[in-house]
Amino acid sequence: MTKKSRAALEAENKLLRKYKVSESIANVMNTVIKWSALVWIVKYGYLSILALAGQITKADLGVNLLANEAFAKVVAVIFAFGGIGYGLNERRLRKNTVEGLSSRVQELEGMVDESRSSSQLTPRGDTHPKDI
Amino acid sequence: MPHDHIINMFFSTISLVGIWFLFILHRKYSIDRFREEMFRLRDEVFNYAESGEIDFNSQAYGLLRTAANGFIRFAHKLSVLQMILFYFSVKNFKLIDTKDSFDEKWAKSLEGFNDEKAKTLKEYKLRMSLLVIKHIVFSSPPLLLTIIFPLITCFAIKYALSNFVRVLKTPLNDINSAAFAYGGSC
Repeated sequence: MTKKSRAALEAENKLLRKYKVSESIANVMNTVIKWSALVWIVKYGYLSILALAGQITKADLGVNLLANEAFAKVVAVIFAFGGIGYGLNERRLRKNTVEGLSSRVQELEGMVDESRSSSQLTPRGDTHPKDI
Repeated sequence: MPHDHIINMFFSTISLVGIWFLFILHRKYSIDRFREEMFRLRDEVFNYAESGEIDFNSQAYGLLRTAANGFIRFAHKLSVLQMILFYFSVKNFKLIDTKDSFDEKWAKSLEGFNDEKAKTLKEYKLRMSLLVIKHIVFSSPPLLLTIIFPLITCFAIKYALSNFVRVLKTPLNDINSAAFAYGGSC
């Protein structure tokens, strides 16, 4: 391997520093966006408790929005379908992982134990169609 | 304040917190999925080398494997925001020696291979790049909400409409023929 010149090393170092700076800014921005969203939601949750106690009216725009029936239904539906979608995707990912690993385990264990028996599940870890 | 408004506020708040939490879970899921896909690609490259097509010690194999390992390790740091910031910070930046860039090394590493093998290796690299782009786009909730979902909805509507028109094509044709015949007989 050829030795890098000082100028090349300095340029590489500068590039890495630029990467680090952009990474740090992105981290700060992502954190601010993520947690301020939660703070916003919690703030209006708190205001809704105050409204319940009769200390404020729903004149505030945010409280008004949260109190809107259509808005409540839409966010509930998004939450429900989002949760279902997330669960299904996680399940598919788990099965992909099982599929990816099972063939290698089968091959490697087969090399050690030629009479290795099998659970007869499908490569994705599902019940064998014949067993249903 | 009416009782039903208070109930709405309660459910809105709970749902919004849930959606916020789903966004965080989605990001974690995207990272897991990206790593899984990258592992699979790395396995494919390993199998390709194991079949004897390329040497495990070849520079091309080393570059692909090292890059895949890097992406797997730092998948949690790949985001749209960072890519944009990094792009603008190094826009006018030049490495002193261009042979240090990944593309230069990659091009050089393919020199010893015949066209077929070079093509296969290039495909692996292309797939790796596509996985990275897919991960960056799909792991970003703002991009998903503002670009991907509207695009998918648009294509779905277009597809549904084109199918609907195809189904109606025969009856429409018959109606048109009848109208034409009536028009001609006037």
